[in-house]
Amino acid sequence: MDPAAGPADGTLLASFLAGDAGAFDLLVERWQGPLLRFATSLLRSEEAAEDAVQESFLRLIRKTPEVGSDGVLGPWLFRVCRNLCYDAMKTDTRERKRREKATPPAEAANPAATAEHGELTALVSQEMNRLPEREREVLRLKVHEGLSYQQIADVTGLATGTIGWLIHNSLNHLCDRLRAVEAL
Amino acid sequence: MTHTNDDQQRFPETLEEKLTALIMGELDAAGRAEVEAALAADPALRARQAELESLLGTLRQAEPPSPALRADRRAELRQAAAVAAAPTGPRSGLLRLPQLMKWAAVFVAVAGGAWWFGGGVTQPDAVSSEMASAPASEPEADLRYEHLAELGYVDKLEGGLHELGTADGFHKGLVEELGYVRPQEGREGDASTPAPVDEARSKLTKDSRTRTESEIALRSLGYAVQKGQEAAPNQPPQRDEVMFLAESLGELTDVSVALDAEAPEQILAAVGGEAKTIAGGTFRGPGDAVPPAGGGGSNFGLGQEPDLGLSWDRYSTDPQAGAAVAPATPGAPSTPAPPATGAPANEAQALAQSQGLATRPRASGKAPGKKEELGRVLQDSLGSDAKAGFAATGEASGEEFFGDTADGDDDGNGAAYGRFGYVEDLAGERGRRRQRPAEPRLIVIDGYGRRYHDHHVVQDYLCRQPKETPRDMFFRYYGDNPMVRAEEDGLSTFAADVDTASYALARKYLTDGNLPPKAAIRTEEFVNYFNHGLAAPAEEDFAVTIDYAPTPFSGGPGGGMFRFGVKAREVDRESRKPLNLVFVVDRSGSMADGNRIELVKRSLELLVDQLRDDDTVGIVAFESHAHLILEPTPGYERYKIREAVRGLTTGGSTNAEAGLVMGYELAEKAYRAQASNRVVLCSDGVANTGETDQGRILERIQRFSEQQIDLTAIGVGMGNHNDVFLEQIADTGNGACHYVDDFEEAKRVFVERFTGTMQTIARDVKIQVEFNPGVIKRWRQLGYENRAIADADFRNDAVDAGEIGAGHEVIGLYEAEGHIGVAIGDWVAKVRLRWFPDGSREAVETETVLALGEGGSRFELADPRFRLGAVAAQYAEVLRRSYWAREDSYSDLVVEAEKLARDLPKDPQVRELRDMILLTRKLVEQLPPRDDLAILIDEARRLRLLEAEVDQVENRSTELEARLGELRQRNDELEQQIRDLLGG
Repeated sequence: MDPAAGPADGTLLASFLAGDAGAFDLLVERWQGPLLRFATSLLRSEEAAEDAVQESFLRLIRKTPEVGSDGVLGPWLFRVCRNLCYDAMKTDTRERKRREKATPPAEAANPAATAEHGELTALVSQEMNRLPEREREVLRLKVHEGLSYQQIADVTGLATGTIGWLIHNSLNHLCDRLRAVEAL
Repeated sequence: MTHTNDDQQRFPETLEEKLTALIMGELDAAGRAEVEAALAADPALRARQAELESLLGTLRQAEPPSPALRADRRAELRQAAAVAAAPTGPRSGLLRLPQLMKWAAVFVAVAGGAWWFGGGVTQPDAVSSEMASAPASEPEADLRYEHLAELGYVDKLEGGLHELGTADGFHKGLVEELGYVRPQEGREGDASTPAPVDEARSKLTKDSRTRTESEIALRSLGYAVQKGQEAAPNQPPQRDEVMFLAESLGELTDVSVALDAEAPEQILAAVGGEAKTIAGGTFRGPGDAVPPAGGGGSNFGLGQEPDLGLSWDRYSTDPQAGAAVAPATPGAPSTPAPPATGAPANEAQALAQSQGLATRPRASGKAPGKKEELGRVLQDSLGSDAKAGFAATGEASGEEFFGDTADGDDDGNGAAYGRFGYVEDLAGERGRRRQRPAEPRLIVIDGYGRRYHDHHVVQDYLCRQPKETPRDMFFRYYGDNPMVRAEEDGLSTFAADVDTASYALARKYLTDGNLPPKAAIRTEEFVNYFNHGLAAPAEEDFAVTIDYAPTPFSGGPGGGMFRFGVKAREVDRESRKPLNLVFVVDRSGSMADGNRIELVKRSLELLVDQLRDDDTVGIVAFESHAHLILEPTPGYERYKIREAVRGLTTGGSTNAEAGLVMGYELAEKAYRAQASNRVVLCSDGVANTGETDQGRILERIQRFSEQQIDLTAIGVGMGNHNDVFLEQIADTGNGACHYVDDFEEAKRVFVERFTGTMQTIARDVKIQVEFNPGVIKRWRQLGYENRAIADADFRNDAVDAGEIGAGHEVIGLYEAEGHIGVAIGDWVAKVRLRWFPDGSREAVETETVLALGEGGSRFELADPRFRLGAVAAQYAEVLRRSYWAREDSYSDLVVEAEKLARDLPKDPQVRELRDMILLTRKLVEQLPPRDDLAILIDEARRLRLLEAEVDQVENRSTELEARLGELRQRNDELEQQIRDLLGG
């Protein structure tokens, strides 16, 4: 779940606390990608996702001491970011309406993905975007961000059992869809 | 929580589920061994494994690219990090805000107490120091943020600092909201200078209470200016005005000092720029755990404290810490320091007193940690009739689903009970915030068995209003329909809606002693709940009426209200269609609470009594799974149906999807084309097992509803969130949503309105109202916020709309302001109705016109039923704290309701409405005051909106220009203050 080699999150945080702002920048570098694509998938708006991610990091600045240096920064960031995303959705009903109308995020039709990995990947990606929000979110955290069920539980507040269930469901659903497509 | 434990025990259960877990690397050793053994034995399972693994591989390949933050945002973060990393950076300042400290104290007191009560792992002293440092900061930060979010401020202020930096974005956002804008009148008793009055407009004033728009705008502007430094020298500001301003500026401490000194120069000094430094000096250092006196300022200006000097006492703490609080300004009262006995008791006391609720002196020598003491403090701070206790929850405490279906049946280790209607405004969707580290927590369970964590209780205060005068309601809510200029848009299109759940739900809240959360109030459902006495059509499907009369309420600028009434044809019991009903009954564990299941059973028995022999009824019950209770059974076997209903018992989680699917399938099985086919869902809440994604459930319902199987949703003992879900489900499923709070309501739904509930006579009913822009200047619809349809879609038959049952009445109310001197004979408003008669695929459309001069001239002379609708709507608008109803008080409503009760003596519902308004007034009067940040933010938003409004005034005079400039400057200052407070 560590997206990049280099010092552990805990070490970086400790340096930041000791007054090294550069260490924080490294953390941003490390986590912005996963957080952004996570937030984008929730909010379906890059602008709003950037808002949420930026605010997540600002919170990290404010709350550094409580995050601790035990190296579990990822789930914490995802949790904060997720809450911010949901707050944003909740706050702005117009935003929500827009989001509902919006097509799935651009990645669904990512031409690069299509070219690189072929139609199957594009199809899976598309189907994934059609999953119910909760399944999509959990599956993404598991498969793309590499979080464990327990970490996802920390992020989403769901029980690990529920997460297992959601993932099981979503995989079943995807299998079904793929089979249906293949049958055509 | 029961369902959670269920989940964990249940999953992974089947081999397939275990296989998924194995592939995901989440299976324990025992499970692995089991699955591997099974894999070795079963080739089908191996194929499944291969399939899943291949899918997982593809999924991983489908990983989206990793984007990066924009450079400017990245730079902002760098800067923030650099500031924070600096040894003496202002990082800590954010969390040490005085008013936030107060909440920290709440948490400290509560958490400390909880710890003690839960078994006393730690000595009280140790608790206080521990609690003061670490856990207090998280809730307070959350709290502040959530508060802002609730106010709709976050996206503009905190979330989008970059946007605010340009100020333009902020302003633009507000201008967009201008539909919601009407300038604010000065506070009561405000001695602002008389402002110029727009003559033409003033002619329109029909009532001395209703001021014309310009007048109000200018007065308001004058008010705002007068609050500034400019007006002060000539006219000594009144005490509360200065406090009001000072409060806005966050310089409370010194103002209170200055006021005590009663020296105008000091008042001005306090209000002026110097105050900042003085005030800054009185704030505590970051290490202190107790709120400084500055925090006490939060109550100033609310008129709660006659003697401001006393406020010092309320925050006095132990002598060592108290030193920092000593004010630097002459004339300050001294700081009496009661003997320190232990932080929790003191803080709890300070907290309770800070709420202005517990002002009686308290024996300060009392050891902290006594259950009674804490209970009392909590009780004091939560309201007089709250029952309080503490729960120290262990690991389990991190596992709460609050806002979700009420289980309320676990946690034998004690729980605090309180009754806080407003908590739900915020807690409604908190289900996701879970899995916190196990720490002592206070859990509050409300009247519906929902549970809230400590900081949500605290949050409650942020939502409450001082005396709930409408001026304080302004920024609270965003769901209000805008005031629309008729020349820009004379059309209003919406889907008919016959739900009444919101009214019954509000009644349930009120009789339980709670104020309903604003999100639970849907104005149209309040109105449609009542009998409007419209004449039923003889042959056609609908009779349409239009009425107009001026109203005494403030919402309509010209004080007028239109009523568009649609009455569906009556169908008597004998000639109604036969029914094919399937009851889908939630019998999850939560249905045992408050005997909800019994209410459902009695309701269904009532319904069974109404059946004819040619009807059929099937029953499905669900908890964790769906069960077929009764195959479709003909009406002449009523005893069988009744027995099946009586046999229902509770237990388990809530798998609404399974229940609904089985119910629909059963209805499909017994489908009769000539009958009215309907699923009746009785539930108290949201699904928590099975398909819990509402979108998916709705999608499935949609499919069934297209096959002409309708749905009636009956809610019992539910809360806000569940309410929304049931309403949506009913909308999607071509049906109505009712809330049954007691047996009487059950009778109303199932007996009195039986045919209406059960027989749909028209589908996809759309209503379009058109105002003549030559006559009507501005209009605003009351309610139907979530039922609006694009004007262009009125004739688009693909757009789903509302169903109307036999004998139903649908009332659309509009506030409107007219032009002066229009020619007689013009039409004023038209209403078009479009629907599909039941069983027909051909849409029918009618149009009804109101000509000028047909409307009434006085509210008092209008039909009592017209007034009833107006009062019900206005009551709902005030309850949901609509901006447009901000000048209306419950007292005004009581007066009108009393008149109605006299004029309609035979209608018990009218008396009930009056009693509800009276009860609401009483409850509102008991509310504690608001937090100062809330007031500050409200004020900032108010001024911004005002500025935007004034900005729109045409033909501005130079004087007005100058004032606008001042207003802008003042707004910028205020915003800067807020940003500073937020640590931006």
